[in-house]
Amino acid sequence: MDAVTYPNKAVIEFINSNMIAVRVRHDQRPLAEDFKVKWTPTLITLDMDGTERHRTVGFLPPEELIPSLMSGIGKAHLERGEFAKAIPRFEMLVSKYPKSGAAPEAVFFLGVARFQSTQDPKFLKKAYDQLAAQYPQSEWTTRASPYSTIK
Amino acid sequence: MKKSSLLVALAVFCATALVAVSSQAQKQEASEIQWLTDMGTALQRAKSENKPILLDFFNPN
Repeated sequence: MDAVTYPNKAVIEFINSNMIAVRVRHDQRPLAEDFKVKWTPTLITLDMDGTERHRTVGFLPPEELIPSLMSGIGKAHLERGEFAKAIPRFEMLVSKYPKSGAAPEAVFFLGVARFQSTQDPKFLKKAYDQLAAQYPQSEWTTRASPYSTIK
Repeated sequence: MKKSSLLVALAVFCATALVAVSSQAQKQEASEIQWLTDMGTALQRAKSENKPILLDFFNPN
């Protein structure tokens, strides 16, 4: 992370303007025990109250880290019921980083966020259709498959 | 008269130098991630700036 990803200009700009960044040793007590850290790097997105919303383990290049963090921020807002803030995060992730590992999950949660904010189930069906078309092999397509029958 | 224009010139020079220094400081600020090392401070800032936290557990070795 220190050799490739963290010195990357886009990564620096994204983290500095969107998040509060904290870095601690993997054996720092009691934090490492509280978060049950077993391997490094472990990257966790917490919401403004300190609740964990997203976690990755292992190296991520810049073009994977930025969408992964976007997903973390989106999920932090979604789980707090802040749909108007969650939706643009997932939309940007999907449009700017469609080939990233985080994209299929973002399509799924974009559907969930749109459904929860409108109660209109067509957004779940749309999410499934997009997943099946763009990411047929993704586990998120399987997870969304019950929505395929929504009319 | 000469003295006052010299003073004005000096003031302009100082102001320009200050701007140059501060913009350089801003550039330096953006050249790396602004990592905190204390979770308590991070939580306070997360609340006051309404931003989520990125918590990185790393192995320095």
